[in-house]
Amino acid sequence: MARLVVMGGGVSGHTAATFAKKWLGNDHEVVVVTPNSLWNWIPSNIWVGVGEMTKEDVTFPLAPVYAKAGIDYRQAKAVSIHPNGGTNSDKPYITIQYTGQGKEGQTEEVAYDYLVNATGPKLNFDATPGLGDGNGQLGSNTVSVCTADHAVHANEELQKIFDKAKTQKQKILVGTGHGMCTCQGAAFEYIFNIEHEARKAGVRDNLDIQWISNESFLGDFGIGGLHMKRGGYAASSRLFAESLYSERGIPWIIGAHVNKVEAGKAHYELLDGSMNEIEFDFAMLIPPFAGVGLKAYDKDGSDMTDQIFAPNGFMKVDANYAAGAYENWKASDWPRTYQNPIYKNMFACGIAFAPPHLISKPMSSPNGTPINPTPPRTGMPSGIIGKTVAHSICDLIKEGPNAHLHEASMAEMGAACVASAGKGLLDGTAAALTVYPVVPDFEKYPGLGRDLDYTFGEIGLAGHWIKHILHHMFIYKAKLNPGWTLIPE
Amino acid sequence: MVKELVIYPDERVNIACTDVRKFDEKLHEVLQNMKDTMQAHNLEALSAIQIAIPYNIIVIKHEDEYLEFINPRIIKTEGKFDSVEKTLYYPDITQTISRYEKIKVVYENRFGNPKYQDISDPKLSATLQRKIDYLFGGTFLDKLNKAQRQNVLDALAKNGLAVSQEVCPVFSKKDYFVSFTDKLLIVMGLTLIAPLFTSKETVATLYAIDKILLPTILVLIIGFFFYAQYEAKKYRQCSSCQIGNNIGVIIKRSVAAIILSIAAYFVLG
Repeated sequence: MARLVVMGGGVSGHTAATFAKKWLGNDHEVVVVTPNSLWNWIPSNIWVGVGEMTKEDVTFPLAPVYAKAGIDYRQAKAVSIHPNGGTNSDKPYITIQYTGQGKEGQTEEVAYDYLVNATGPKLNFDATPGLGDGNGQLGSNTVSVCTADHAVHANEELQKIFDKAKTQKQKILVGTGHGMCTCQGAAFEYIFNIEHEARKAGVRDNLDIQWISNESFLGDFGIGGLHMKRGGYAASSRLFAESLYSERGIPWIIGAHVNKVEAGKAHYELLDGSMNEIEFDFAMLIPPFAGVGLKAYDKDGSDMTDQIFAPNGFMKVDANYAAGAYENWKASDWPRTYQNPIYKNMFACGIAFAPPHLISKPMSSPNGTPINPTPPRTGMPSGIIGKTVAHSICDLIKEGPNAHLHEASMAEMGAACVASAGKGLLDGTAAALTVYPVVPDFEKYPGLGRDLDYTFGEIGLAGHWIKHILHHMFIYKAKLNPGWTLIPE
Repeated sequence: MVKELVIYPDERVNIACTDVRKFDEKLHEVLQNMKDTMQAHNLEALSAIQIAIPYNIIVIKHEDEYLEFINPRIIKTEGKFDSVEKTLYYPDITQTISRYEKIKVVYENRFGNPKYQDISDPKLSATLQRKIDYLFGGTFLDKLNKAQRQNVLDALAKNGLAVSQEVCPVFSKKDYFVSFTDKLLIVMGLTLIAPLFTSKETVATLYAIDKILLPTILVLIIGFFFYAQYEAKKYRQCSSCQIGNNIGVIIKRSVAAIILSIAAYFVLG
């Protein structure tokens, strides 16, 4: 009997664990180690953040789902990896520290035959002074919608602002809280949902809503922009985004690295090196992501973290990390199997794998501050990669170490994105966009690097309905309800 | 070398351009071609896409000097004014467009070195904004409201300049597949109420017909998919031919057919 240990129970880890268990059956063991007791459909957090959904609508308890699936669930955070075993055994293992199940604080060693790192990101609030509290958590100056609890708090603060806006002007700032952030899409959705709710509440006229982000052009989204078919050709998402922001009366600051946050004030450096500040009454700034801080130790206890993890804390996989300058970047730099190059029984998926380089054009200010979006690995690609990794591991277990690994390169994968711009059965709007491939392949598709036959985008009410249907569909799938395998990632 | 200009109704101008990644002799040659073309046509500014090169390159003639902007991005704006503009792409059209009065642009020079420039001359600022719009697949018509845009297109049409209408058929042959499928679905729906009015033998016959209708509908849907794909390639400029719309049509009919079949199984079977 082989044992697969999956670290992380988010979109990618949950997908990997549940498919692996389904394919492996009871002949082998699947263990999930995640510090959370609840599964969270993160894309809907933005609706929690404006009071249109509750925390219960976007989360469900993991324990009964894993019990039903026959998955060994440990509510704990992974602390370290010991790929060569320890002093007493050559068997690789990880150490975990419990966060629930009545064993809070206890540590344990969990041996594995195969390991999937799907730990997701550490929300690195402290990378920007004043954004965090100095202990790695969200500070008091801004709010966040990165977790369901953050979103509940964000809504409480937002409602206070709406109340004040009934009698006085209020300033709202939404965007990215650092020059190296990803997830501009979440901030994009949040700012337009705030604007939509403000109109519904009749306080829009008293709100100055301002966008700030590290993109070098509006609509970059960390992937060098999306493209919408128009007249047989694809126009950039910049045109669509600028129209939308103008239409909704939202001015934008781009090319910005927020370098300090105080109560009611954000300081930022622009791509031209100038230092600026902006005041706010309410701010939601997305933090940059980093690896969760897993350590790796050799058999003799020596630290080997740098062999397995990139400096940003994400796990090295079969990517080309020596691609060099922007002009040399190729689609083939991106990983295909997500297998660690040193330890073939270790894989990483979702945000946890280290990307070889950016997707957007690298930019920096004259002061040397990098200001560019980092590559997103969330949503649809995250689920697809999780399933692919599960497939590979199942084949390795069943067919032996020479089994052919499954592949899911982000340079050969399309993604569909439905970005909400306001919730409502009859007055909601969302932008539905597809991009293929996620990582541009300049050799295969000269010019933009993307196949325009698989590119389309629309904004409207139908997009909102799709977004709402997806919310229910993916939660249904994650709960492993009948037919869950038929629902695509 | 003087290059041919892309002029309406040539829609290649709608291509979103990509960033220049290699600052080599090929780029320098493109820059020279752009300058030659500007001199030959007495132009003040040119985006590379206006000579059908889909890269983020702009050349502007300002005070007898050619300014080169590679991969430009506007990162700061200030003030707005009404800019009266003509553009090469739409011959003989003048429009008033709201533009930023002052901008700060970050770009690279021909050697790939990053540059930053404050542009406070409103005319130069507006020209650069218009040219940057081209790089992202837009023209100044995108800055107008729907009625103004239509006026411009009508005026161009009067001068014999219009996008060929045949690129997006008013009635597509693929609609025959949809129309026939819908009629069969209605028939399936009607058979469900037959038990209220007819004998058991007739109901059994109708159930047998339903069993034939389901695969027929599925065949029609498959036929629709392949024919729609053929049309999408044939009429590349037709936005209603996009695969997303076709998939929507297929999903709706497939779901209806399955629901009706299940209902027939329980009601008639």
